[in-house]
Amino acid sequence: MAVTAKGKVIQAGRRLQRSCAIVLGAVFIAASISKILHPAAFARAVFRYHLLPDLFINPLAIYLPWLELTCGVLIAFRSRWRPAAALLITGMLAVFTAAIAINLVRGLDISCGCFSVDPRHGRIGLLSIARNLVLLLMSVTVYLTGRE
Amino acid sequence: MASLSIFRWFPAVWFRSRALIGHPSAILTAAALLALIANHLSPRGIPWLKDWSHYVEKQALQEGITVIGWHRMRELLDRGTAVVFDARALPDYDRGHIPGALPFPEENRERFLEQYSALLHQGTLLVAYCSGDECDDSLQLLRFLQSAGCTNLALYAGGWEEWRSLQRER
Repeated sequence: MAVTAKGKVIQAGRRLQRSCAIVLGAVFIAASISKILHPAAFARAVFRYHLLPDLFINPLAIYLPWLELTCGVLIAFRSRWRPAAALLITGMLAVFTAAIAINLVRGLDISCGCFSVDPRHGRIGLLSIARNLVLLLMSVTVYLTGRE
Repeated sequence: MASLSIFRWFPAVWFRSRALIGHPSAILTAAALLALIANHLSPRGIPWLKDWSHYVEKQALQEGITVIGWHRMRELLDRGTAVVFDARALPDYDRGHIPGALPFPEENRERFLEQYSALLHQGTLLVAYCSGDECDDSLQLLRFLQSAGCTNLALYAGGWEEWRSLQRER
């Protein structure tokens, strides 16, 4: 009886991990596409955060979308690579959330650049922070449940 | 005994270090290679280095001037709570401008200041823009207004280019 209960918990844990991983994968793949297609516009979105020295803006704008895509694909489709992808996604989400929070405190009116590089979409706000915190919780769950 | 316990734990340590360092490093490297190749091959590829220092919003922020984006600009225009000045030359203004914006070109600034005196000095938000985010006519106008005693100033950094392209796509 006790073994069955434990088994159920493990199964539920696996289901939760898989669901979170698929959602995170879909989110990160979707987030990367617009940035990969429009690197110049994404570089401008990065610049508008006014957090990085000029030297790092374009390299980040070129690199970050591919890191998002790679992590998104691996977390959704490759269970062996899931913990590592979750770890990197957790790091990215922590940095993104901090960047948004800093600019909200500064009072800057900028678009998020999270899912689209179009300045009309995704203005930064408390909602973007809340969304990131939910995703952060999911990535931590995937990392912690997928380590063994 | 001690050495035995090391061997017993070694696979777990190895697995964890692989999960913590090995796999993430491999992902970081793979993404770097993909980015390098894609940026090199893509017709939309961008240079790895760019000088952003001449962008007008960077200078404005350094001078403590508020910078607003497209969303805020639309809100201000919808509510009619700001006076918007177009800092470009008059012929450019005549060819097209943000609805409700008033011309305030570099030429004859004193005359325009006098003309708009009723709109200024009332604490109303004064927004300036020029052709895009690399021109500095708007920033110069804001400096001029600042020297004339205006305090509530903002820069719409995207300027006419951004406004026109986004309106066209709507």
